[in-house]
Amino acid sequence: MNRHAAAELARTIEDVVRATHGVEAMYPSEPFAVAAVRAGAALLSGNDASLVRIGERDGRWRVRLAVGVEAGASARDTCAAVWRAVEPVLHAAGSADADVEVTVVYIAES
Amino acid sequence: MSREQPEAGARLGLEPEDLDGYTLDELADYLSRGRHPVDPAIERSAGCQLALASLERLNAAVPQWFAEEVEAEPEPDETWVQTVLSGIALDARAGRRIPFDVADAGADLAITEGALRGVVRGAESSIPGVLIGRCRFDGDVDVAGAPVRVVCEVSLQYGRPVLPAVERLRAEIASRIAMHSDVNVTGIDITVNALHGAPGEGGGR
Repeated sequence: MNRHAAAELARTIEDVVRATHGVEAMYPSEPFAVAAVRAGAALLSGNDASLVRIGERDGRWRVRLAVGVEAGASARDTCAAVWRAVEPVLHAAGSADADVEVTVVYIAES
Repeated sequence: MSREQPEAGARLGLEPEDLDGYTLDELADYLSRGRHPVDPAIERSAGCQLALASLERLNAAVPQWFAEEVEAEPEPDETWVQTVLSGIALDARAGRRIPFDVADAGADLAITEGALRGVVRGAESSIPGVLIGRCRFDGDVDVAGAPVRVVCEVSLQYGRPVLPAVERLRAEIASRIAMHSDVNVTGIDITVNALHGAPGEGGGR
């Protein structure tokens, strides 16, 4: 991931956290927002996962990640790697029972 | 109950009709300007990136058409270029969510139909003279293991032998889908429905 993409991802994660804090009464689980940030940080160090979205469905927290795959990489392997990177972070943040969904939305051409 | 931040969600490129509010003409203009000034909304939109990748390949194949098109309104009659463009516009949308077959029961991993169509469309860059018009997956592609047929319409450069080009394209598509997904492909149907670059024509059928 280049510097521009990393900075863009960091800003996006900040946006998500800011939005979450803005509706704190509805979303009291601030640690979850922190977990999202930490997940993003983990992704920054490894995979070209781009965006994080958090919310709630059927009383369970839900994390949705949209992943862009770099040219030459396998979408399946990248998707699995992102999921493996996120899971321990969520466990550490006490949000192990969250629904985590990782979706490849774009594959770059070499 | 479902409550999510729509503004953040709109950027994800996960919605079935997502091209993030841009038209293909706007994206073609953006490409013709060399992607300057940089539009962050376009650059972070998966749908726009898929469409731009296809437009770039089209531009490489028929640069003279592209140069004329950005300066003038398209002709009202549908040429093969319009067919290719309409395919790009449709294919760039996210569409259905195609699951990966993973052993871990807790993992919910997938690829969008739009991203996989982008993979299929990218095959044209490996086969000289081929441009993919429309591409679709027939079958329950959002159900793991369900049989799926890939259906493509292509335009072939005038003078290229049809059969070898189609066979190479079919092999390339199969290889690409296998690399990036677990879709159970039971067939790849390719229809050559247009020729381009014929002597004496400027880009029409």
